[in-house]
Amino acid sequence: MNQAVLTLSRQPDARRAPRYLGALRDTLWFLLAWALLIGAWELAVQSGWLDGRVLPPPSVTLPYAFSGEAVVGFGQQRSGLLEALLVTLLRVSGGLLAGSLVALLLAVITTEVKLLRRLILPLVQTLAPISPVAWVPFTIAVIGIGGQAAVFVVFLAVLGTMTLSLVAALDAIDPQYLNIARNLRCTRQQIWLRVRLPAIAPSAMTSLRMAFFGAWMAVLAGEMAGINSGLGYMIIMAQQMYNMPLVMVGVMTIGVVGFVVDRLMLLLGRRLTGWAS
Amino acid sequence: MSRGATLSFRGLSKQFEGGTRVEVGDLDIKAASFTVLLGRSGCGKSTLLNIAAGLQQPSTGHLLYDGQAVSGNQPDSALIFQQNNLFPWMSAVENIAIALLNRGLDREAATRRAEQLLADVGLAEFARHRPAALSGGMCQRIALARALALEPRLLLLDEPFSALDAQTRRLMQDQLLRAWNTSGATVLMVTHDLQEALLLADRIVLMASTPHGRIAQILEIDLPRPRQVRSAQLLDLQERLDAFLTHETRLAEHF
Ligand SMILES: Nc1ncnc2c1ncn2[C@@H]1O[C@H](COP(=O)(O)OP(=O)(O)O)[C@@H](O)[C@H]1O
Ligand SMILES: [Mg+2]
Repeated sequence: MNQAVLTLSRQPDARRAPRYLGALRDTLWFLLAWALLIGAWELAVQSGWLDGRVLPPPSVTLPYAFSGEAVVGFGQQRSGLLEALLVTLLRVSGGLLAGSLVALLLAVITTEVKLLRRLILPLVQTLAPISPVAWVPFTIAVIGIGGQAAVFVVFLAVLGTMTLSLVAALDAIDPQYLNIARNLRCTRQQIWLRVRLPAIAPSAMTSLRMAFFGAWMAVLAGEMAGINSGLGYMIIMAQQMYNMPLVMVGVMTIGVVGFVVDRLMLLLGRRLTGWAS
Repeated sequence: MSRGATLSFRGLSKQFEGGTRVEVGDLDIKAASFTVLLGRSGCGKSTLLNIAAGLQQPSTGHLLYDGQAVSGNQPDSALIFQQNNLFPWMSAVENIAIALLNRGLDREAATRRAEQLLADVGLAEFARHRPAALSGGMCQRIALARALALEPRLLLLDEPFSALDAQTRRLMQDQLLRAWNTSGATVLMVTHDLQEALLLADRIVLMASTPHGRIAQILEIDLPRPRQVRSAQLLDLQERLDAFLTHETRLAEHF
């Protein structure tokens, strides 16, 4: 009898522990996977299997990345790795923020006004699947070359998919919550601010993470098209100068920063929408 | 003095897009009475409740509220569903406070009143908990407390205790009866539970499912409360209800 009670009361703790252990285990596997790849790479170059001039080994690229020599251009055009990264991150954030806000606006309008839903959604559905890269020529023609062009490409890359996911999330709200809100005499504004938006927050956060992936790819496409700053520019320049360690460093930075931002967004999302998990 | 509203449905029907038609016709509900709607699932009970709450508009006919035709949002009704009455992203206290915000209280006053209401139902210590951290019974108690805080003249309950275990259900039924007595509100409740219907109702309205919504029978239960489930009268009535539902099932399932 006593034992049964004890077992029951211990269960929550027993369930809690493995979650942290699980996270730790995942991290270890993550590090191990990379250590193995880096080690294999180094070994392959040292043993002559891979050409170190085309695919520089980690023993070259890693010190190079932190040496302060990872730089392209001269004089005013000179741009270091960190600087290029910051410029690119700013462009992504700008495009992502603008794209998401306009998407939210469109989602609200199409939810409130059925006529506008019928007119706007078909257009969005057709434009959303267009790859960000395909927008580059269009953007250059309309906006020209420059930082704004990269932001605009990101904006376009985010807008369509983000609008569609927000509309879908709004449509998926359990109508009972809306009925309850009406029964509690909530105003239209209260229904938006206190019911609809909180209800879609978890899925909107997931959509935003997806959108970030799209944006992160789009911004590089935008930057490779004739802009003279940012990570995309840096990689193109490094390739033209045949600076393979710099190409490598640029590509790795894209991967690592993309991964870190995604994790941060995941954590932030869990923070903000803890009720949903 | 009676706060409860009288409710009359006249020639009421609701045509749904899928082709289903719920045809209720006429039904009168006395002020401060306790009416239970009983019928097979899908016969139109929730539709009737939603129309009474002003959440759905009838296709034909209309609703008289204290003898007056109403359209649009229904004044002075409070609605409780089987579950998910509380917004999962709000704490218990916020869930109550949001209802009070629209009754002239500012945010601070609404929060204080909500805390007091929670304390009244013995859930003060759970004020900051979200619904997911509360039991189903606690959530329904909070929903009931919130509904009563609106001082409704009409309390609409759609299978409010169906998801609860038998013991919690019994306690909730007692609480509901007390709330009905003290508030003087008219209660219209849907349930699947025959015993629950017999323990609570003044009148049991039996709704047919072929055709949907038709009022098949009305039973008046003129017995004092608290009632004993095992009393001969209730057992007799329970058999009649059971016979009705069996007949309905036979029709619907082509037995
Ligand atoms: N929004 C709707 N669209 C189409 N059909 C509906 C809708 N709501 C209810 N119905 C149909 O109307 C009938 C009555 O539904 P409902 O009132 O929910 O029944 P009950 O509450 O008695 O189980 C059912 O057959 C159901 O399928
Ligand atoms: Mg129902």
